[in-house]
Amino acid sequence: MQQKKNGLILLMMIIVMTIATACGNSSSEEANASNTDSQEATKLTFAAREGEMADAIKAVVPKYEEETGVEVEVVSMPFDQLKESVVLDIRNNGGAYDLTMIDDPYMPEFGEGDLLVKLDEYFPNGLDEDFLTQAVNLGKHPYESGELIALPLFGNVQLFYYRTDLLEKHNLDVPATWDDVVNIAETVVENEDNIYGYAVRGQRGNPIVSDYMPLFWAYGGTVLDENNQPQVNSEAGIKAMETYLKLKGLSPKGVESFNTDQIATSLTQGQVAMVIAWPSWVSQVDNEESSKVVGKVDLSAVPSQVSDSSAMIGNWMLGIPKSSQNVEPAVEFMKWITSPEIQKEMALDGGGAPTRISVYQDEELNEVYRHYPAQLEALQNSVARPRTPLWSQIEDTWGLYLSQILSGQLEVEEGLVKANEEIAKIMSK
Amino acid sequence: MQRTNKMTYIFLIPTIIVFLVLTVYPLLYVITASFFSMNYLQGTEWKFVGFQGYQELFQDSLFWVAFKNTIIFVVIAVSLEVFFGLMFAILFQKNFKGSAIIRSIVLLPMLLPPITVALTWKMMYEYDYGIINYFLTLVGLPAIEWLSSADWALFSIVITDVWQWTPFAFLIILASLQTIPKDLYESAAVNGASGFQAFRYITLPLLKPVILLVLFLRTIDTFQIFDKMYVLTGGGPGNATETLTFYIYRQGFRYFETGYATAATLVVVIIIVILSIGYIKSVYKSAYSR
Repeated sequence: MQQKKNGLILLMMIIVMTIATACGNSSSEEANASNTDSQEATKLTFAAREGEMADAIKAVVPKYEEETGVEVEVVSMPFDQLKESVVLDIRNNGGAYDLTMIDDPYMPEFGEGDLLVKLDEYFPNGLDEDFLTQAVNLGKHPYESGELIALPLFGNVQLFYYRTDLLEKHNLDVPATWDDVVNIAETVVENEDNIYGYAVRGQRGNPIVSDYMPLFWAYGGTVLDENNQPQVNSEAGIKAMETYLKLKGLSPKGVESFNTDQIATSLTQGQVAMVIAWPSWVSQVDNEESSKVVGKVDLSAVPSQVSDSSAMIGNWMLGIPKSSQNVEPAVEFMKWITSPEIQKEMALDGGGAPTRISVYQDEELNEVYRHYPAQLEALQNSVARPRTPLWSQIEDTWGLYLSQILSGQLEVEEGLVKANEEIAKIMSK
Repeated sequence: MQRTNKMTYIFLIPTIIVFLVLTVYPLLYVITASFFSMNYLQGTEWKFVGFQGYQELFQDSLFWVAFKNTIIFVVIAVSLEVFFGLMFAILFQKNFKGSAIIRSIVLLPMLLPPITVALTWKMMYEYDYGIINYFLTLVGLPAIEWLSSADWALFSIVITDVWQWTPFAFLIILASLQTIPKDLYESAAVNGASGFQAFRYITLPLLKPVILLVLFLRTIDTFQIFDKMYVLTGGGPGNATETLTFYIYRQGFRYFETGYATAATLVVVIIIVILSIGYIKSVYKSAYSR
C-alpha cells in the first residue's frame, strides 16, 4: 500500500519536472530556430502608437506581407503603455517586439539605456538626403552627432490652427503674437454663441507640457540653461503661464482634462476658433464626413511674443528593440515603410505627417492636404525639446505643477517655483 | 498517524512551491531592492543606498498628497459601499414580486471589468456631451466639471467605485442576514420592540462580524485602487486624484526608478498589513463573543 502511494508521488514529481524542463527547453529552441533560419515564415511584431498613426500603418502592411511573405503584426497601444511595454520587454529580453515607435523626446533615454539596435551598419552611407535633417537628427544618439538608432516615421510638428471664417467675420488679422491670440479669442467669445476662443490641452503630464511649451518659448523661456539647471520659473515662464490661464478662461469647460481627442473634436466640430495641434491627429479638418469646418480652417506657425516662435518638433521614430530576434527582416521593413511611395500612401490613409521632403512636395498630396507647404516650412525651422535622458521625469513633474496651476490648486509663481525645485532635484540625481 | 502527517506535507508541496515563487520570492526581492538605487530602463548597476530611498520618500510632498488622497478615498468609498450594501440587503431580504430579478440586476456592476466601468463613466462624466450633465441641466441644475475640477475629481471616482462595489457588500451582508433566525424578531415583536429597535438590537449586533469582514476586504482592495484613476483622470487635475498606487506606478513604470518604487511599495504593504491585523483581530473578537 505504502509502496503504491510512494510510486504515485514519484510519478507525479516526474511529470511535474518533465513539464517544467520541457517548457524551458522549448522556448530556447524556438529562439535558436528563429536565429538560424530567419528566412522561413518570419513574423515581425510592431508596437505602434494607437490612433491615426497605427491605423495608417495597418492600412499599408498587407501590401508588404504580399510582396515579401513576411507577416507583420501591428500591436497598437496608448501613449504611456507603449513605452512601458517596450522597455520592460527589452530589459527582460523578451523579444516580443521587432519594431517600435518612440516619441522623439524619449530618444536620449532609449539611447543612453542602450535599448535599441544600432543602425549604422545597415545604413553605411547614412539616410538619404530626402529625409528632413531635423527629423534624422532626432534618431541619432547623441543627438545630431551620434550613431543612428531610429528612423523618422511620422514628421509631426506643432502648428497653429485657426478659423479663417471667424477672423474675416470680425475683421481680424491672423494672430502674430500671443497677445493677438488672447484678443481674438476674447472677441470670439463676446460675439459668438457656442464658440469658444481657444482650447488648451490641459491634461496633466505630457499633454499640458507640449501645449504650454510653445508659449514658454515664445516668451523667451529655456527649460535647462547651459549648466543644465532648470529655469521654468523664470520671468518668461510666469508670463507665459499667465497668458495660458487667460486662454483657459476663453476655452470650453473641462479643458483641465483635455487631450488630443478633445482638441481634435472641438476643432472639427466648430466649437473653438483657435488651437495648437499636431498635424497627425488633425488631418481630418477637411474631411466632409467628420468635419463641420471644411475649408474654414487654416494653419500657420505657432505665434511668437518676445522671441520668434519656434515650431516644436515631435516626431515619432521607428527603432528596433535590442531584444528582437529578427533584426535583419525588421531593417528591411523599416526601409520599406519609410520609402517615399509608402510614406505617400500612409499620408493618404490619414497618417498625415511624412518625414521626407519629396512627399511634402508631391502634387497629389498637396491637393488633399493644402497645409503641406506650411507644415514643411515649420519642420525645417523646428526646434527639438531638451535632449536629456531625464526628460520623461522632467516632463512628468513639470506637467504635474502646470496642471495644478491650471486647475487653480496653486498660484502661478508658487507652482512654478515648486516645479523648478523638483526638476532641480531630478537633475542632481 | 505519522504516515498521515508525512502525506499531508507531501500534498502541500505544490501549494508551498506556488507560495514561495509567487509570494515569498517577490516580497524578499522588493525588500532587498528597496535598499538599492537602480533605474531599470537605463540598466544601471544596483547601488546600495540603505534607507535613502525611504528618506526621500518621506520628504516628498507628492507622496504625502498621494497618501492623503488614498486615505480620503478609502474612508469615504468603503463606508458608503458598506452603508448602501446594508440598506439594499435589508430592502431585498423580504421577498416581494420581482425581488429575485432585481437582486440579480443589482449584482451586475460587480461583474464588469473595472476598465470597462471606468471608460463608461468617463463618457457619462463628460462635461459637454455627458449624460449626467445633460440630466442635471435638464432639471435646471448647473453642470458639474466632474473630472476636470480638482474639487470634484476624487469624489467622482468615489461615486464610480461605490457604484461598482456596493453589490459586493450587498451580496455578503444579504447572505448573512438570511441566517438570522426569524424567531428572534418574532419574540422581539411580541415584547413590543419597534422596527428600528429590532434592527438596532438584533440585526446589527448579529451582522457585526460580517460587516467587519466586508469593511476589511473592501479596505484592502480600495487601498490599491489604480485602474479607475488611470482611466478617468490620470491622477489629475494636478494631483487631485493621485493615490499611492498611482505614485508607485509613475516612479516604477514611467521613470523606471525601480529601487525607489519598491521602497514606496513596501510602505504601502506595511500599512495594509497593519490595517489587516487590526481588522482580523476585531473580526475574531466579534465572531467569538457571539
